Parts: sequence; structure tokens; C-alpha cells
Amino acid sequence: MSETAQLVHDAAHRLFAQHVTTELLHRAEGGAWAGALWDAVEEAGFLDTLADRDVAPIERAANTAALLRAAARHLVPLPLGETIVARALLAAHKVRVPQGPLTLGVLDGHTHRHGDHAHLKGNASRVAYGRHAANVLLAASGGQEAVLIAVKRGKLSEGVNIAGEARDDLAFGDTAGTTVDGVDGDVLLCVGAALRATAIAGALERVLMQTVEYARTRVQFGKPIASFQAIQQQLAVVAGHAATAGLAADAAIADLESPERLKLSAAVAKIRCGEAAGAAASIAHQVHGAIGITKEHSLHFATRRLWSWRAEFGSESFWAERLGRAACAAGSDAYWASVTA
Amino acid sequence: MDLAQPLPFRFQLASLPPEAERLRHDIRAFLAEELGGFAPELKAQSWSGFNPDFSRKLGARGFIGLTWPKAYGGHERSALERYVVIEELLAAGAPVAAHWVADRQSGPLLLKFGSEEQRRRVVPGIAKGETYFAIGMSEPDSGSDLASVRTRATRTNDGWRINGTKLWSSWAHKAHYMIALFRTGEGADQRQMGLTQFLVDLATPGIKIRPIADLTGHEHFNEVVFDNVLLPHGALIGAEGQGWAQVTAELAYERSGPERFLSSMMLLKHLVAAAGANPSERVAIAIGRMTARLHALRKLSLSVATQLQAGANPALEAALVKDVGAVFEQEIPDIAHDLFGLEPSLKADDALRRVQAYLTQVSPSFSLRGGTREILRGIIARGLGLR
Repeated sequence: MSETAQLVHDAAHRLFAQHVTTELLHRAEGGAWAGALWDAVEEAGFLDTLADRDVAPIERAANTAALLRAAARHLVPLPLGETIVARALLAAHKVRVPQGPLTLGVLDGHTHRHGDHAHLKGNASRVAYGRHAANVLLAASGGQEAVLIAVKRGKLSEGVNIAGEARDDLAFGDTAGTTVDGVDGDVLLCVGAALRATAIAGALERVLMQTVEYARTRVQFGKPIASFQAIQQQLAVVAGHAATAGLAADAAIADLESPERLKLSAAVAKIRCGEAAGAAASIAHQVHGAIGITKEHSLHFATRRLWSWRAEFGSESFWAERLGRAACAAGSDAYWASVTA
Repeated sequence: MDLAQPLPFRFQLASLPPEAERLRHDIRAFLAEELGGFAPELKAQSWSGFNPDFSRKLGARGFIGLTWPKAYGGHERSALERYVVIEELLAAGAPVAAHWVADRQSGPLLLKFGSEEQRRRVVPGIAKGETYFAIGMSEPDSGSDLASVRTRATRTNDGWRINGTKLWSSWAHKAHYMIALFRTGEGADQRQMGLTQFLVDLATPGIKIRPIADLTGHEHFNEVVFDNVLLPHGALIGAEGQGWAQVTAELAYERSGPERFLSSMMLLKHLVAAAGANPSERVAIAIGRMTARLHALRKLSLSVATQLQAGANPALEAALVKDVGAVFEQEIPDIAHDLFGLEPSLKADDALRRVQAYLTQVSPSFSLRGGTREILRGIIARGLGLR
């Protein structure tokens, strides 16, 4: 980790450790907005980690990766990644960045330019923290532009994922918003996949740490279960998943500002992280003797998010079909060259 | 739980320097020229394909001993440049077995621990692609428990007398030398203490080498019997009794490279070809998943190479890459079966069936060679603080 990324990492962990308690997670899952946490995050200057043009692209991407990984380890109940990326996209396109939480999504519908404004019409489903965000960035697949629009201009139907995170449906009639040129629905889909991949990578690290700690303290047959090879070998598998998922996610975050490269790295990351999420959650619950599926335990805070996030912004199969079709269309002679490109 | 704690392993995004990409261009051009007439099932052998002609040409072009000092025939390039050459050789299915062990671990070991005489005598021939090595670690009763080796080297007036048997020594019947781990004493409390490494000229009288065919009919494994074999004093590598530390260093070279996830690459390429330009959803998903794993593994492996280049000792990271990599390369034959259900056959007209037949029958070794899955996961578990 670079020196500045290390500073971001340290500052983020300090802030999140102070604010994100089990109690806060319970309240957030009950529908409350973590306002004090949001204010602290804003105050700390985290929201412009990726938008900060005074920092070199590689460095701001590394800082963003460090911040989002830390947030995911703590299961921060905010649209933090969405806001950070949306602010960077808006700033890069010289659009005035609005105050407050932002979110983003793919529009099932269409957008079109009308003078200085863009209009959008259609639905965006399962938008993260829609009800808490002031504005949402939406784009349709194959469109020419994204549209920044106030959430309250649309019709909102509340929903939650199994981790109790707000996932709201938004419907817009023919509504005018601010144009963000050249960002289509596919870009936002890839961005969303990269964000969920890095969230999974962070939560996987938490699951690994929590399960190792449990194995070292839980005594059966007169000794800690960590001393049994069957347990050791299973946790080594989780470590392999955490390592692979983590680096794949870092690669996608590094490409957040390069839409062409992001198509590949987001697909790779979402597939690998999604696969890792299921495998690691399964082993972690097994090592915990399944007590983690009771509400009293805390393992489920991470595993319910893993099970949700792997399905959001495209599942493993969705991305694998895309990646596989692209590989087959390019043909076997081009296959290896595409890996090293 | 302190969530700010780092994990015990670290992987970073690595980028290859421009000189490494230039070298990729060169080795690709060389391989396009040399491998045109090679049958798919020969390419599928990858780093088990023995071809001295190819090794000599590769050496003549400066692609062996890439990181070694020029004084010993090397080319003083970076570990990342070597990484690129190795991954290109493997991805193309080049027959690299003849010089493989010598280039990967024997040469580096001799440069690190060998005497000046040993280096001068042996290393330049390795870099030319002319001198080949076998590994002398395992024995009939010593596999994962390597410290239990019993083949004994007894000091005599003229040197050392060797008695015992080494097993699974790939290409010993065609190699010139073996770096062997022998017992030279009894450690008082630690059995690792009485071990010493030797540079064995395999033409020495008293060495009997018996090839052991594998399921595909290839003879690369060997049993090597030492019956009162006399080695000169100069055969000892490094220091007497330091064999365990030296062999551990040797294993680090053996665990970290791209050969730990590219062994089934030829089958993956044939699967992409068999899928055609417009595959079914099921086939596309399977190929997409394998492609994602390949990309992710390569990033991990490059991260280890970068750490090695920086002088670090990423033993835990190397164990992780080898473990995850072996699962990947071992699953590909099963995925091939699942997708197309073809009966594998080394004699089929269809290249996919031949390649699949070869890899189905040899892939069980992928999670064995260089350290078993169980040993590697034990190393990872120790890194996690579980043991």
C-alpha cells in the first residue's frame, strides 16, 4: 500500500471503528439513516477521494480502494461508493456536484437530449439507499448520456435486500435532469459491479478474521478447534478466496476512471468476488457450527451482505456469459493475448 | 476483533515494465516460428514436454538464465522479464521440460549456495540450454515429510559414499545432474539438522535410473538407486548440515511461478475453439468463469513475482497462489467433460479429445508437485495463526 493509501486506510478505520457499532447496524437495518456517520464521512473529506484532481489517477484510485475496502470491512451502511464515484463522474464532466448522498443505477427505459437538459423515462430497480439520497445518476443501456436527477422527482417504492439495506425502485415519467455526456448504462453497470466486488472483498476479510478468531477460542474435545486440521484446511480455502477476490476488486477500482478497461476488470472482479462470497460464507458458517444464522450472533451481518451483493449489478453467471461470449467471439488464437493485454 | 489489522498475506496490483513487454514481443515471435508444426497433444504437455533441440535454441536466443549474472552465462534481466518469458512459453505449450528444473531452481540454487567451481562448471551450460537437472528430494518413504529422507552420504577419504533411493525424479534418465538431499548425520533433537545437498553427476558409476511410465505412457518419473556411489568432496553444495534451509529456499523458487496455474492452458484454448463464435449460454458462462479465474490468478502471481523482484520472501503468498492455481488447472478437464461430454482418447482424430485425454490423466499431479494441497493449506493456516 502506498503511503497516502495507508493514511486513508488508517483514517477510515479510525472513523468507522468509532461509528459503526453493532447497534448502528441494527438501527440501519431497521430503516434509520446513519446521519452522524454520514456527517463524519463528509467532514473527513472522504467523498472526493476519487474526484480530487490534485492527486494522480493511480494514487486516487488506490486511495479509493483503501477507503472502500475499509468501509466494507466495517459494513458501513451508506451509499459511500456510489457517492464517491458519482461525484468523480460529475466533476470529470464539469457538472456541478450537488450536496448530500448520491446513488446510481441502470435505467430500464431511455434518455434523450433536449437543449441543455436531458430527459429520462423509465424505471430503475433496487437503487441503493434511494430514499436517503438527494440525487441519483441514471443511464440506460446503449444511451448517449447519463442523467443526474433529484430522487424526489420520481416515484419511489421502498425495498430492502436480505441485509436490510435500502434498495428502492424509482420510476420516472418524462422528466428533465442534468446531462452527463458519454456515460451510458453499461458504464454505470460496470461501476456498480466494481463497487459491489470491492464491498464483497472487504466483507470477506471480515468474515475470515472473525472465523479465525472464533476457531482459536472455541474449545471442543479439550482444545481450540483451530488445532484440528479439518478446520485449518477449510480456513486456508477462505484465505485463498479473500486473496483472489481482494486483488481482482483492486484491479476494478483502479479502472473506475477508464470505462473501456473497466468492462473487463469489473466482469472479472464481480465473477471472482461473487464465487468467493458464496464459498467463504458457507465455510464460515460451518466453522461457527451454524450459530451464525441466529440473530444473536454477529457473523450474519457480513454473510447476509455477501449473499445480497453477489446478486447486485449482475451475478457471476451474468458477467461470465458476457465475458465468455466476448472470448469466444474473439476466438482461441486471440485468447491468451487478451489475458496479457 | 480489530478490523484495522492487516491480513497476514499481501497482494498488490503489479504492472510489467516496458522492457518486459518488449521481451514478450520477442519471445512470441520466436515461438510462432518454432512451434508451428507441434501437435496439440505435445503442446498440452507444457512443462512436461522434453525437447533438447528446443531448449538449445531457446538458450541460444538468450531466454534461459535470464536473471543470472553474465559471468555465468546469464542475461542480468529482471524477475519480471523472466516472468513474461515463462508465461509466454507455457501459454504457447512450448516443450520446456529439458531445461525447466535447471533454469527454475537448480541454477539459482547453485548461484546462491554453490562453490565457485560448481558455478563455473555447470551454470553456463544451463543458460545455453544444454545442461539439464533433476530434483532429488522425494524417496519411497519420504514425500511431504521431506525431513525424513534416509538416503545416506557417508564421508570417506576421497569424498562421500551414497546409498539409498530417490523417487519421482522427473527426467533423471535424461538429465546430466541432480541436486540431491542426503542424510549426512543425525540431528540431536531436530531431524532437519543432519541433511546436506549434493551436486550429483548422474553419469557417476553405481547410479541406476529406472523410468516409471505415467498413465499416458510418458516416462518422465524415475526411481534413482544409489548403490555405494562415490562422489568427490566438491559435490557438496553449501554447508554440511544446512541442506534443510537450502532446500526450503529451493522450494520457494518452485512454488511461485505461472506454471502453477497454466498447466491446463492448452485445454482451455481448445475449449474456446470448440465453443465456436456463438456458444450456448451454458458454454459461454463456463468459459467466462474460467477466464475470470485465469485473469485473477495471473494478477496474484504477478504480485508474487514483483515481491520477489523487490527482494521480499513471499512464502505465504506463493503457497496461496499455488493452492488456488492448482484447483483451477485441475478443474479444467472436468469442466471440459461437463461441457462437451466427449470421450477422452489419446488416439482420437479430434485434437480436443486428445488434449483432454492427456490432461485428465496427468492433472491429479498438479496438486502434488511442488508441495501437496494439504501441506500448502497447512502453511496458509500457520500464516493465519491457526497453528
